Amino acid sequence: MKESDTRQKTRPHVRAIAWEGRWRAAYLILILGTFASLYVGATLPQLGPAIIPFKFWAANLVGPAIIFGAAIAMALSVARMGQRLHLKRRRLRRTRSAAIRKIVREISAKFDIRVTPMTSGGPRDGRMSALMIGRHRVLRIGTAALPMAFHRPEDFRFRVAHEIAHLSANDPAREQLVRAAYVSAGILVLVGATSVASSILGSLQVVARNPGAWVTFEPILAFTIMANALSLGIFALNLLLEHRSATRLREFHADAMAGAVVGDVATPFLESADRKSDRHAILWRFFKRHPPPLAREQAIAQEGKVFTADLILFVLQGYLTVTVLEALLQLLFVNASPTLVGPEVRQRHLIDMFATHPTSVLATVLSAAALMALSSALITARLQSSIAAVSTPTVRWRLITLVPILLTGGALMAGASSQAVLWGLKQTGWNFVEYARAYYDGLLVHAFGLIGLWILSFAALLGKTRRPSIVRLALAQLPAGSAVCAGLLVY
Amino acid sequence: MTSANPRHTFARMVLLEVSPTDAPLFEDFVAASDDVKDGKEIGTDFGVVEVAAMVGPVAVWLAQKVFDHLLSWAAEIGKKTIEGFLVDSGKAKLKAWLAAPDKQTLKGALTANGRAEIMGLVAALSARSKLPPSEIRKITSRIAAILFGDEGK
Repeated sequence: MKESDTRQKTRPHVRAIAWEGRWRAAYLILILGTFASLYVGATLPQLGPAIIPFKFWAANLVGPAIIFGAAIAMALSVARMGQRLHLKRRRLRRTRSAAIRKIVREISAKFDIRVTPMTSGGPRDGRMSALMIGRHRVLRIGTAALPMAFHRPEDFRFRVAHEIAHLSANDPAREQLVRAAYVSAGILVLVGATSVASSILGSLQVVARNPGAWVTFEPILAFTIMANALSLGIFALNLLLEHRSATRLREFHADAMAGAVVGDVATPFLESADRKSDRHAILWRFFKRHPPPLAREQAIAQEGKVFTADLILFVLQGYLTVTVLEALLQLLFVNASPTLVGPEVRQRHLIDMFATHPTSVLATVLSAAALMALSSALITARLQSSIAAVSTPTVRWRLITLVPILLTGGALMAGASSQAVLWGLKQTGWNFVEYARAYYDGLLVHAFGLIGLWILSFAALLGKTRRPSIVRLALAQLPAGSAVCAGLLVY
Repeated sequence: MTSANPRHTFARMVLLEVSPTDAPLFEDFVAASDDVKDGKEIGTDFGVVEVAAMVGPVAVWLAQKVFDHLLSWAAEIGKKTIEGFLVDSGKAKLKAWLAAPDKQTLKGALTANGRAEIMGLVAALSARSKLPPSEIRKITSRIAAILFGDEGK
């Protein structure tokens, strides 16, 4: 059975998981790159023009983005060097058993890829893992896992197929890329944070020479540190959770592919020691790389379980959609709102900015809209896959009730951790009504974006299970489109 | 069953006694014997950890450790360190066994102390293997049977 046969044999839900996995990784890298570049561009405005020698309207953002790209390439090279050293220490050796090599050859042929089985680890190492060494796809089999081929052949073949499915989907390479993006974004944010810290230190030196200024400076300093820590902390935490959620999804994909190729086997999950802790660590499981064994076992018996096992996606996408929108508003009005001026001032500021830098304003709005559309496409695809896999009214109604709540929860989290919102609230003495009165324009844009998300989720859940791509594409534009419409209305 | 390497010959004998199904994996087990690394690896893994260690690789690892220990006795014949472990005629028997473990046994070569020393080593190494007690008993009794003839059964 060649790859084409495997594709035919895999059910639509498996293809849907693969699609979601690919795009979530791409979205994560885009978000990491955009926000890290924005942060550095804002905190070190001289960096961009220093990198781009000629006059360029987006040098502030593009300069750091170039550094981000270069840092990814460097992080990847360092990771590969580290991997070589690590593997040298792990004494990876060619699997000598002809029987095992034959099993691996047979299964990898079904995926139409070439995989080299290697063994490492001592007599107690029973793990199997998929890895890329240079351009070679390698299946590492721990020594203690080898006998399983003879004692529990079906179980062994399922595990081998699971790892080969990871290799076939290019998961190890994608994981390396995402990690490199994390490291690169982390370095950029650290550079930006260092610049913020040095400016705070500079202000402290001024205050030290003038002790009377401390009374006015101290609350601002405390607020800046707290707001930065809260905003960046929640952003980093949510990106980590998003990565982990996507990682768990790819495990479901590998299980489903393995099932399609060698037949479904649930015994590895039945026997897992982790199974007992499934019910206890409800929050902790969101940080885990693998879904709970019970969910994996259920997903093998009932394919729709894959999509409903990890609903955190909606909280995170709600958060990211509003964060992107908030970042856009901050970019457009950063020079107009340090003291929470009224909407008229912001409107005038935007019109002036559009008159002087039309390309810059349009490009910023379009980039944000594109990021929001990608997020919405992920939500739409997930919802449609969910109801296509399990079309029972109970599941549909459960999702109709839950999804808007989860999206709203994520959106509220984004609002509550936004530095601009916190600053605005501080200006009004933490009086939300007062704040809403002064900043109703921005809140209206957010409200329209959120309503767009709700309509999108209802439309995806209430409509047909299989919609043409053009309809799905149009649906994905709803939140960004409604937010832009609200923006045109108020500004 | 002949092999150029007596250490491997003994390990294979133990493997065939303990888990004959794993015989095709013998070379992989031998290659892993000196590898003490365990745990996580770069790349994606299956995520569900094995609940129990497998008896085959542990048996091969343990047999080689026992062989090495007896080999060190042979190197120290005449020294006080191993006095009391071997009977007078045991030294020659040990040398013969180390050369061809598939053709000889150590029956009657070791004193009670010597036998206790070897079985103590087996017990200590088995305890590190995370195998269930029934499997540990199986390995211990088979090694005793191979080394000491019927004495260990």
